[in-house]
Amino acid sequence: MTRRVASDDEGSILDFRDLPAPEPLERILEACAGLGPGESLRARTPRFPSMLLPHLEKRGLRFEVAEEPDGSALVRVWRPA
Amino acid sequence: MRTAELRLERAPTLAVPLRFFLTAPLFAVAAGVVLTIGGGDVLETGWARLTLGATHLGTLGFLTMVMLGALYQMLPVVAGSPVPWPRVAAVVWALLVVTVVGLAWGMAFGHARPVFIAIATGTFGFALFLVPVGVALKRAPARSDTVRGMVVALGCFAFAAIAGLWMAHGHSGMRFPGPRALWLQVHLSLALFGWVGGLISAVSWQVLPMFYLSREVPHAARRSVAVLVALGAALAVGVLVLDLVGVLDSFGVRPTHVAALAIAPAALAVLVLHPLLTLWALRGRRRARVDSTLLFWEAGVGCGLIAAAAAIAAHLSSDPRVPVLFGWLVLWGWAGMIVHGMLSRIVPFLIWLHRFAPLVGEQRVPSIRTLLPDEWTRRGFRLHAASVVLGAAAILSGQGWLGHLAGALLAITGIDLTRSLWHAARQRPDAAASSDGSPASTRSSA
Repeated sequence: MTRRVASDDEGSILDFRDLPAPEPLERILEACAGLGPGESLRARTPRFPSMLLPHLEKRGLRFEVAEEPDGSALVRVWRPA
Repeated sequence: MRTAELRLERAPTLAVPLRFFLTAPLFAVAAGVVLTIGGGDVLETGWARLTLGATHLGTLGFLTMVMLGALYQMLPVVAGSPVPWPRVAAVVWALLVVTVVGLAWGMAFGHARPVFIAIATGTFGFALFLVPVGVALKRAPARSDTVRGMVVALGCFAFAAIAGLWMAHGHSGMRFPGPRALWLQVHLSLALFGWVGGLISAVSWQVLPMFYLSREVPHAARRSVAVLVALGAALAVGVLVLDLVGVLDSFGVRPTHVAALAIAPAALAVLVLHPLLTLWALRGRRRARVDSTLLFWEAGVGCGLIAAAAAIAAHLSSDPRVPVLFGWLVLWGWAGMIVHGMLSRIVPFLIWLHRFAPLVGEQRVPSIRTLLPDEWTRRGFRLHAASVVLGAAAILSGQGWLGHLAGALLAITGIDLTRSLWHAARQRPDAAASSDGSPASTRSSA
């Protein structure tokens, strides 16, 4: 199940913190498939998304990862314009 | 961006760990067959030939086979340092297979030549494994609790292997290096508590949060486990050194008692402290839904706690059944359960990651849960649990027919696990699937 977490700026955040590996990777890659040039998404993962990043790079996507105090991570992925 | 904790891009090819993982259950089958044929005779004493053969099928053929494959997979990913000369892994695998077969056959039937061959293949195989892995660890940029635990475990493996190969001379027509009971005690202790227990605990710090969303065990607790394992192992090796230089007798106590005391910190760490930490970590899971592989962890660490009680009882009691019960529980209950569960989790995970993850978003790919149905894993758990319980009942009751039955169930457990893992391993993306989302995106290779 995917929760969308309300954020205080634009867009909602996909919340995959309750999914074990490799489900967060799978869900994020599925969501990224629909990104057009200049579009982005944000997602929360239970841990630093080490497995995800090489797959994003291979797809030509850019990303930023911020680690949270509780060990989870907030990932922002965008397709270059 | 912070440095990644796991470096999946450095992972070896799928074939490297997979050949170890797919072979290991066959040795569990073989151990079960030996027990089925021998029945109660195999479970009467740890000194019987069939028991020695069956034990090494379990410890080397099943447990060590999986653990070597796991290290080839995890070291580059967790430590950030690829194992050099990766093609050597195939040679290591082949030599380990020959070593296990030779050792088990020679010990079980009292034939010297297979043991002699096993000494040679084991020496080369273990060296071919330890040298590249040692190089990888030396170069490793990451020094996490998992990596430190792996270093301790590998050190114990090296000493246990040296002691075991040296002792094997006694089974191949040459001499034992020293008093058999003492060397057996130290070899078993280093192998079980240092190598197996050390690696299980080190790996658990990564896999429990990753696969089960468990709580993170505090750094101080993780470090304590590794320190206690290292301390126990060092003291146990020290006991052997004292025996070799002829000093041990001057203490005026039984050498096996000294060895038991020496390894006690390591035994406490892996059979008591680590199980309690694991249960604590799992109680705080984020995810309520139970993955059947979790049952193996819970049952395995539970058996560890029971085995710890049996270990204490074995030193306080003269009942010959208690040491055998300890050996059975620690091999097939504690370590065997945990390794069985990890295989059921890791093999589908690696196959999905290598074969299907690159296609996500480009074509429909199966969920990882379909690669190995949860009901199959649950069935494997029931079979394994039943064999452990029946084996314990056979030991305590002395009823030979229970031993035959436990062996049959152990063999069936191995066959079931083999079938499950091969089912997952055969799953491949459908090469004909188009990007417009056509269904049936998996096929089993012929």
